Amino acid sequence: MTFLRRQLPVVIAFVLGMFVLIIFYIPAAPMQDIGDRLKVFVTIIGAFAMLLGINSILGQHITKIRKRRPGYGYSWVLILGFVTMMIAWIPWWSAPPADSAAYYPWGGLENSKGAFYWMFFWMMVPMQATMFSILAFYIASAAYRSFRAKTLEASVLLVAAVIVMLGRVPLGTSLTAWLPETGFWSSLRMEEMTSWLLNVPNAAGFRGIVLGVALGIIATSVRIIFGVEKTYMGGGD
Amino acid sequence: MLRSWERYLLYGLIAFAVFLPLIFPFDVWENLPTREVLGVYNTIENLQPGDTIVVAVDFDPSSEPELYPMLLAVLRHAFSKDLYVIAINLFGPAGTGLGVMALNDVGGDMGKVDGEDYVMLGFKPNLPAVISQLNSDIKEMYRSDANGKSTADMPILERTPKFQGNIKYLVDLAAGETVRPWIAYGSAPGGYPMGAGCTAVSFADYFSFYQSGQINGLMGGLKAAAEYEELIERKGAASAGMNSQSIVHALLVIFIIVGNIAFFRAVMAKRAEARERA
Amino acid sequence: MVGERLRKHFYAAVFFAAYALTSPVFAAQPDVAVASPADREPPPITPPVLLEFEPPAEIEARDLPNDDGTSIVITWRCSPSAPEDVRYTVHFSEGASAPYEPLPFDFRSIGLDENFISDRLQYFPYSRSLRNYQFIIIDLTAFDAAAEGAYKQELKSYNKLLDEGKAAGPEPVMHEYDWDELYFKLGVTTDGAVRLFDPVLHAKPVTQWFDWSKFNNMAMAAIFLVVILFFIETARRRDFYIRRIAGLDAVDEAIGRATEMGRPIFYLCGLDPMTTVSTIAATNLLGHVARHVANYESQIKVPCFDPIVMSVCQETVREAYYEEGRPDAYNSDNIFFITNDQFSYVAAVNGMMVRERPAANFFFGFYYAESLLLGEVGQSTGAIQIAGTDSNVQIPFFITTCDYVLIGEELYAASAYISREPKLLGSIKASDMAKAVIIIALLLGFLFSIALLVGVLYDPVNPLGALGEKMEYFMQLFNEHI
Repeated sequence: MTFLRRQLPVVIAFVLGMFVLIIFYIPAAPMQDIGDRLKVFVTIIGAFAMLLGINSILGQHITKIRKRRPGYGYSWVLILGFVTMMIAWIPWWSAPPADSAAYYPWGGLENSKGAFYWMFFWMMVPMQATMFSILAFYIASAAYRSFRAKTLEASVLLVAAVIVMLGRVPLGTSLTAWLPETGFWSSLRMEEMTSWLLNVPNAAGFRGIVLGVALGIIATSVRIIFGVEKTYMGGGD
Repeated sequence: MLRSWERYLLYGLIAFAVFLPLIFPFDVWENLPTREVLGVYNTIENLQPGDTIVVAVDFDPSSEPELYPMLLAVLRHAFSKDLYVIAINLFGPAGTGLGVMALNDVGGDMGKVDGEDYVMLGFKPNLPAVISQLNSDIKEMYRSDANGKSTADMPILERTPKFQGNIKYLVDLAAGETVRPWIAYGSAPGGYPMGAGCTAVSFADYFSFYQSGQINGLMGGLKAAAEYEELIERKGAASAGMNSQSIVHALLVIFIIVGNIAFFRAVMAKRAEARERA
Repeated sequence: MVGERLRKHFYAAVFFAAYALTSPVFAAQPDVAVASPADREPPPITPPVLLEFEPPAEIEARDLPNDDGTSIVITWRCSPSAPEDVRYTVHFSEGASAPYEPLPFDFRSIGLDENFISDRLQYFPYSRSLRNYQFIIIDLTAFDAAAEGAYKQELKSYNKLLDEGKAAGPEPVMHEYDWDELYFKLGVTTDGAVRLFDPVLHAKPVTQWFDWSKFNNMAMAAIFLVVILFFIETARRRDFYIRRIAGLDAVDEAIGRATEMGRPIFYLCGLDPMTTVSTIAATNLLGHVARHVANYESQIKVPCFDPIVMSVCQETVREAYYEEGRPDAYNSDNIFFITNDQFSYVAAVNGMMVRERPAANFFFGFYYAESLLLGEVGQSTGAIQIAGTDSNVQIPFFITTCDYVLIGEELYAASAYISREPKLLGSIKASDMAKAVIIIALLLGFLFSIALLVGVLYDPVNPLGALGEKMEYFMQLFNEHI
C-alpha cells in the first residue's frame, strides 16, 4: 500500500518526466508521436476528473438542501441551472439538412436559434460581463486606499500611475495636445510619456520577474521529477 | 481600511461617471490613433480587394466589452476593402458564438455572404497542433464550420485551402495566451504578417512582441478599439465608451489626490498630537 | 564551450557529407540538364529582367539537419543583381532527365532579402563568411499531401460522374512520389515567368536522432541539473541562508488569528490546471498551511477551479491532518469544486467571503483578471490576505489589496522556506547560481554589443575580426528562433 501511494507515483513521475525531457532533443517522428500521445492523456484524465468536480459541487448543495441549512434556496437555483443548461446543450439530432455535417435543432452553441444559445448569450454573457465590470469599482477603492505618497518610492509610483492613467484616454492626451508632435518637447506629450513608462521601466521589471519565474519553474520541475518535492502528492516529507 | 460610506461614495461616483456619458453622449476629446493601432489599420488598408485575412476570435464573453468592438471594427474595415475573412476561435468554446454573431451582423450589413466572403471555423482545442495543420490544410482540420455546414465545397475555402501562402494578414484578438502560439506555429513558419488585439491589462505584456517586430500592430483595450473606429470613420460602442473611460480615469486621479490629502492631514494631526503630548 | 566546438565539427561533417553525396550527381547530370530541350523549360518567353539576372553561385542541396528526416534544404550565395519584384522559386522533376515543373503544392517564393542562413542557427552554423547565403527548405511530406489532395479531388469528380450515370473513365489512382527520385532546380520568378538555374539538385533526407541545435540547451539543462543535485546533497551537511520572506512569516500569524476569531481560512490555488508549476507550488504550500491549521485546530476551506486540483488538494490536506494526528478534524467537504468558469468562480468565492467573513485569505498560484476582484472583496471584509503569484500582470493588483505578496519565484521557494527542508533549500540555492550565470550572460551581451558598435566605426565589414565574430555568435545564440 505504501508502495502504491508513495513510491510508485514518484517512479512514474521520474520515468515520464525524463522521457518527455529527452524526446525534446529527438526530432525523429516516432519519438514525437509518443510524446503527442502522452499529452492526450492529460485531456482524458481532465474529462474524467470533471465527474469528480460535478460530484463535489452537486453533493455539497444536495446536502445543504437536505439539512435545510441557511440559504438552501440558492442551492436549488444552482441545481436547476446546472440541469437546464446541460439538457439544453445535448445535441438533439434529427435528419441533418443536405449541406451540413452535423445539425443541432435546439442544442449546442452551433445553433443560433437554440435554447442553449439563447441562455448563453442573454444570461451567461451579461452576468460574466457584470462580474468583469465590477473591476472598475474595485480599482477605484483600491487606488483611493493604496496610492499614498508615504515614501519617495511610493510618490514616484503615484506620479507614474497618474501619467499612465491619463495617457491611456483621450481626455488625458488632449491635455498635452498643444505640444509639438516632433522634436524635443514631443516627449512630454502624455501618450509619449505613457509609452515610455510602459516600454522601458515597466518592461524591464517584467522581464526580470519572468527570468526568475522561468528558473524557478525549472528548479521546481527538477524537484518533482527527482521526487525531492512530494507534498503535492499528499505525501508530506 | 476604508469606511463603508467612503466606499459607497466612491462606487456611486464611478457609476455616475460611467453612465452619464453613455446616456448623454458628447464629442469633445479627439482620440488620436497610436502607432501600434495604425500598424494593424495600415496593413489592412494596403491590402488589395480579393486578398484573404484571418481573424482569430480568441476571447470569450468575459472580455467581450473590450474585444468585441475591436472585432466589429476590424471586420467592417476588411469587408469595406472587399477582403475575404476567415474567422477562427482557438481560445475556448464560448468564443465561437461571438465570432458568428459579429460576422453575421457586419457581413449582413455590408452584403457579404457566409461561406463565400467569410466563414467562421469554430473552436478546436490543442492550439499548436491546430495552427500548424491550418498552415497546410484547413479542410483537414475543419470538416464543418461553426454553423455545422460542411466545408467540402465552401467557395472561400476553395480559394484559400490553407493559410500558408494564401493569407495576407492575421489578426489575433486575444483574451488569453494565444498570441505566442500564433506567432510560433502560425505566422513565423507560414510567412504571413500578424497583428494582435488584447485587453488593456495584457497590453504591457504583449508589447514585447510588438517591440521585436513579431507582430506589426497591437491594439490594447477599449481605447484602441475606439481609435480603430475613428480610423474607419464609423463610431460604435468603443468610441461611446471612451468618454466614460476618460472621465473615470480623471476621477481616479482625483480620488488619489483626495486620498493623499486625507492621508497627509492624518499625518499632520498625528504629529501635532505628538507635539502636544511632548 | 564544448557544445560550440562539437556543433562546429558536426556541421563540418554535414557539409562534407552533403558535398560528397551531391557532387557525383552534379558530375553526372550537367549534360542532361544542359541538353534538356528548350521547350521543356516552363516559360517559353523569359522577360529580360530574368535573363539579365546574374545566377547565384554555390547552389547546393542537402539534407536538412536536425529534423525528422522529411525535409531537404537548398542553399546558395546571393546573386549580385537585385531587380525589384524578382523572387526565388524552386521547380522539381521526378527523375534526373524528366522535365522540370512547379512544385505541386503552394510554395511561397523567397524574396531576394529573405531567408538568410545566418538567421537560422537551428540549421546552419553562424559565421560572417556565410552572411550572404540564402536558403529554401523543402518539406517532402508536402509532395505526398499534395498527391493525396489531388487524388481526393479526382475521386470526388469521378464519383460524381458515376452518380450521374455518365462515363467516368478509369478510376483515379493516387500518384506516389519517390523521394529518392526527386530532383530540383533553383530559379527566379516574376509575374509568373520563371528562369531556372543549373545545376540539378538532389539530396536524400535523413532522420536525425538528436537535434544538435538543442545541444547547448541540453548541456545547460544537464549542468543545471548537476548543480541542483550538488546543492541538494550539500544542503544535507550545512545550512543554507535563505532571505526572509515576510509573507510566509505572516502565514502562522494569520492562522493564529483565525483560530482566535473562530473564523475559517480561505485558500485558493489559482485558476491554472494541475500541470502548471504555479499550481503545484500552491498545492505544496497548502500541505504546510494545512498542517499548521490542523495544529491550531482552525478550519480551512479550499474552493477549487479545477476538479483535478480539487482531488490533489483533498489528498494533500487529508494527509496533513493525518500527520498532525487530527484525522477526525478533516472534512473533505471543505475542499470543493465550484466551476470551471472564471467569473462564475469569482462570484461564488466573493459571495462566500462576504457571508463567512474569513479571518485570512491565501491566494497562491496563477491568476487572471479576477485577482483584483478577489483581493478587494477580501480586503473589504477585513481579512489578513497573503498572495503569491507568478502571473506578472496580476502582481500589482495583489500588492494594492493584500497585506503580503510573494512575487514570482518566491512562490516556488515558499514550500522550501516553510519546511526548511535541506533538499528543497538546496534547489533554491541552485537557481540562484543559475540566475548569477544569466546575469553574467546579460552583462557579456551588453559589453559585446557596445564593443561591436565601437568596432563598426573602425571596420564596418569585419568589426573586431575573429573575436567580433565570436561575440556576434554569442549574441545570436540568445535570439529567439521560432
